[in-house]
Amino acid sequence: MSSTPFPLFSLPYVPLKQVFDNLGPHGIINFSLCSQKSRNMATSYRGPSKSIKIEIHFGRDDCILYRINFKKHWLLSVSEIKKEDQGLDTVRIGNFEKRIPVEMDENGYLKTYWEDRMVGMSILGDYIRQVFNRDIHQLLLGEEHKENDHRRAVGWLMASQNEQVKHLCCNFEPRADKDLDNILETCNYTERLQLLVKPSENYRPTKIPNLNVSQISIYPSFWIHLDHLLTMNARTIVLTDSKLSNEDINIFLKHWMNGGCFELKSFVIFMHSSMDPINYQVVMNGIQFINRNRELKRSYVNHENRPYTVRGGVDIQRSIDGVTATVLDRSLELNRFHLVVWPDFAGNSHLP
Amino acid sequence: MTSPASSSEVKYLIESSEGNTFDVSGAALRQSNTFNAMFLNIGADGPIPFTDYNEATLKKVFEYCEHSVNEENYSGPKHQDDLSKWDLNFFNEMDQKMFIDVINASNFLDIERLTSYCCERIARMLRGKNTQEMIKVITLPTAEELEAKQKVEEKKAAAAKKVAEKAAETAEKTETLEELPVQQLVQTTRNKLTRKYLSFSNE
Repeated sequence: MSSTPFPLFSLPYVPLKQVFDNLGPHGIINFSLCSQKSRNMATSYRGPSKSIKIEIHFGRDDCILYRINFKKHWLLSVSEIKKEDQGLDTVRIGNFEKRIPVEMDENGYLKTYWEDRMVGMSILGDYIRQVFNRDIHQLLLGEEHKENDHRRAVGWLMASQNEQVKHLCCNFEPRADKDLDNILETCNYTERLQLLVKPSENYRPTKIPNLNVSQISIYPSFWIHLDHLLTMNARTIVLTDSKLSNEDINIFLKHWMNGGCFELKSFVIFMHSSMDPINYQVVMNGIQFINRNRELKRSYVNHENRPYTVRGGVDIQRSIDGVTATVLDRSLELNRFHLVVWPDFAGNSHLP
Repeated sequence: MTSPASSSEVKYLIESSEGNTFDVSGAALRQSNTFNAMFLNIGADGPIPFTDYNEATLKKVFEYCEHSVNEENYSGPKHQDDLSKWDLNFFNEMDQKMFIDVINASNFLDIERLTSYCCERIARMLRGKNTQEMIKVITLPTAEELEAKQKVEEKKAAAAKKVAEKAAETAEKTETLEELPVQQLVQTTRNKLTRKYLSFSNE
């Protein structure tokens, strides 16, 4: 029966919804592209096949995808059209005036071919948002194919979805520092900032970026100074190649103990190779703490729901509510500072 | 005929669209939420009429229910790959018309497990197919066919519009004639006939 025509549209509503529940995100997209009617039906359907966080990646891979348990599942890709692609099947996508050549990848996603990749990405982004009735969750900016690609991508996304995106990830080599500045100034991200961008040695953002988000990862972070650190209010912070001094970390700890960076759960700093090893005497200067024996083993569940063991360490307490944090014992790894705040992400207390 | 409180040995009489009746066990019937809501607590006096569905369809549906009486409690949709040999045979021996009738009946009777298996089976026909292949499966006209159809529709609409305009014109004239007093009407008709005669005679 698998290849014989089936009058899908004659099914009653409940079974039809169940069919859609079983189609998955790829099936919903392909179905929506069949006709105006199928597009309307796919758009009005609500159910598990649409329960995804949509990511849009500009750069090396121009694509739209979602993840399940950190595994990427591509939904659509965009490539520039070549002569040999012109014999492919075509579909109408949204209200775009031309029919677009498409083909199925062996992994089940749809490859689309456009004269202008950026136009393709924005048309597909708008289309996916409409069919899935949800905003794009993550914007990833990879290497630019052409100058101004990033500017166009951020401009399109901000203009088309209520001026915000939850998660901004940048992973490219900037031509100039102003490239990064422009993105940080114009892109309004609300939950997570992930920067894998190496600006020039003397880079300093023209304006302090939005660091009041739940997760911050900056690799490398040599340009992050104390003033940036004190504006952060994240649950997890990871900084690599940091040039923060022992005194800076000491000030941050006191800041936290007085109620600053209130949401913090985990803070990791990997020092820049040019920096001296962390001096814990300076870091803990003027702070009341309890030294824990290395025999004390406590399990800490991180934001990815992965447990690891905290051996010993130094406990400090926030004065306003008695919340405890542990500075991990890194006596064998003096270029790394690690602070965890209890209870952990699974709600486990610091008390054994 | 039946006692709702009694066990699975109790048989219920089901009436099909042809007016035929046949027995179904209480245990099998209880898989139908529609039945549970309508008859289980109040009992049924006489055959239960499911007269929107024919005998063959109802028998097929209840064959499934009878078979799954002893299976574990239903816990959400089951993947087709997990289907037993019996289940696979059950689905494979149906032609498409019967399959659609079974889905409709199962949907009406609200038999969750059967409906969900059927829907999984349809989804399986569609999954992994590109748009063109999907169009063939769900019997949708292609975009080209739609465009051609639209052109035909436009031509039809234009022709219909012309006919409607002509009809309206004629109606207007008739209306004008009807509104005239009888004498005037006679005179107008005479004039028309004269004009016609003259035009013919001129030829």
